[in-house]
Amino acid sequence: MLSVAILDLGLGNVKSLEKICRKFIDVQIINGHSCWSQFDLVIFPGVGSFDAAVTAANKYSIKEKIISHLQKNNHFLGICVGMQVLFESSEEGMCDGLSLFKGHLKRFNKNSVVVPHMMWDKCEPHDFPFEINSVFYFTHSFALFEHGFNKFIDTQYESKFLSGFYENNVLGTQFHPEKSGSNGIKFFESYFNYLKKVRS
Amino acid sequence: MKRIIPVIQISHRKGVKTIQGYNPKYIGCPVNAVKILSDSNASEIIINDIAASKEQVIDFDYLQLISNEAYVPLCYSGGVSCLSDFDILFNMGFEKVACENLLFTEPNIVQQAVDKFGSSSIVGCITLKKKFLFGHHFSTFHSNLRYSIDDYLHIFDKLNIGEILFNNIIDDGTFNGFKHIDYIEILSNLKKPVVLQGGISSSDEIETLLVNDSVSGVAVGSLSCYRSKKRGVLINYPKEIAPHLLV
Repeated sequence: MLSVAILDLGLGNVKSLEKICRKFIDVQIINGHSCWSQFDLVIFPGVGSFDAAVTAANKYSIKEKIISHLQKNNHFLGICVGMQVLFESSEEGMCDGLSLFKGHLKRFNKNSVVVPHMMWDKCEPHDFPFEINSVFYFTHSFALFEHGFNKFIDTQYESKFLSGFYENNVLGTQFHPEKSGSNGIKFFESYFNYLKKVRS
Repeated sequence: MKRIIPVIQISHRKGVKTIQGYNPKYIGCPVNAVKILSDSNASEIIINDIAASKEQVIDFDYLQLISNEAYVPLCYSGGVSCLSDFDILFNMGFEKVACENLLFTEPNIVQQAVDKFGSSSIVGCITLKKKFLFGHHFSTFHSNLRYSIDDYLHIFDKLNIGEILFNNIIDDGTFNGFKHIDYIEILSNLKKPVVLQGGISSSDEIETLLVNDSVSGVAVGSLSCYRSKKRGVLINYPKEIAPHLLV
């Protein structure tokens, strides 16, 4: 049985995530002070600006918690800005990211596309560990255009950008699976089934 | 890809549909309506509390019940007046909050919301109203203050609003068709998503509007609440749209 927590740092649509996760498993809402040791998976939800998310994460030493959590072979999911903060920096803010992965997020060029990228859009998986072949809901102005991930998802807008990745037990999604209707429900079902399989 | 966005108006926990902003007619339980639209994989749903707009009191407990039923993006509008309102709404599962009066009365609060939650979470509304005798003007829904389209362009740009909702209240609920695409083209110069609302008559019209590059989405009230122009209540999601426009 998976033990899953949703990190509530005062940002993000915690209730939406909780609701969709509870379709498959029991989840706990934890705050910045909580201990992560009992959880197989911690989810960092994302509605917010880069600086606000990084500031909240630094306040509770989330980087150190993620590193320690992953060293114990546990898993982490970052959604939207919850994924973006894992990289080094973003044009959106002045703060440095948590720098768990290399990358600098850039703003879509509003001379060539409408910004924010706010729509349901197609996702193309590349060597992804579980099934993703669908459309998801996006709402963001900044994206990672250059990366070195082997297992990733990309989406075409201004050009191809990183819409998801899986590396070292970290799953990041630029889209909002918790708000992607039946496709999002399938996403969580596939992800949880994958985690159950790798942890059994 | 383009969006078709059903609008559910609520007033004191009842689902209603207005005509030209007035005469709200009961259309059923909003919680049930949101469940039906979410199960239909609506692109997004707008919840517009017309009582909260007027009375400046948001019924958060009821909005939580509504949010509990949605697995698609939710946008809220009505009576948002301080930063903590944004906090509570995002926390309970709304992805976007729409502002109208606040843009002009308390722009610093909107700016703080953009800074905290990101521009893509904040929607700016612009309402087209009928003048007393003839013509039309822009205003916020519950005030008589008049603004020019340039005032809106300036404030949307200055506050870095993520999306623009153009509400044509003159044709709201009439099925008369949307007649103000010229304004949408002006607003689209900001290179932000523009969603239009008010008077949409049919699925064919939605398709025609969505083909326009300036239109990111079409918000529909009557078409998602009624079975036909005879206004028999049937909550539904307009689906007979060319698939290449939608995902």
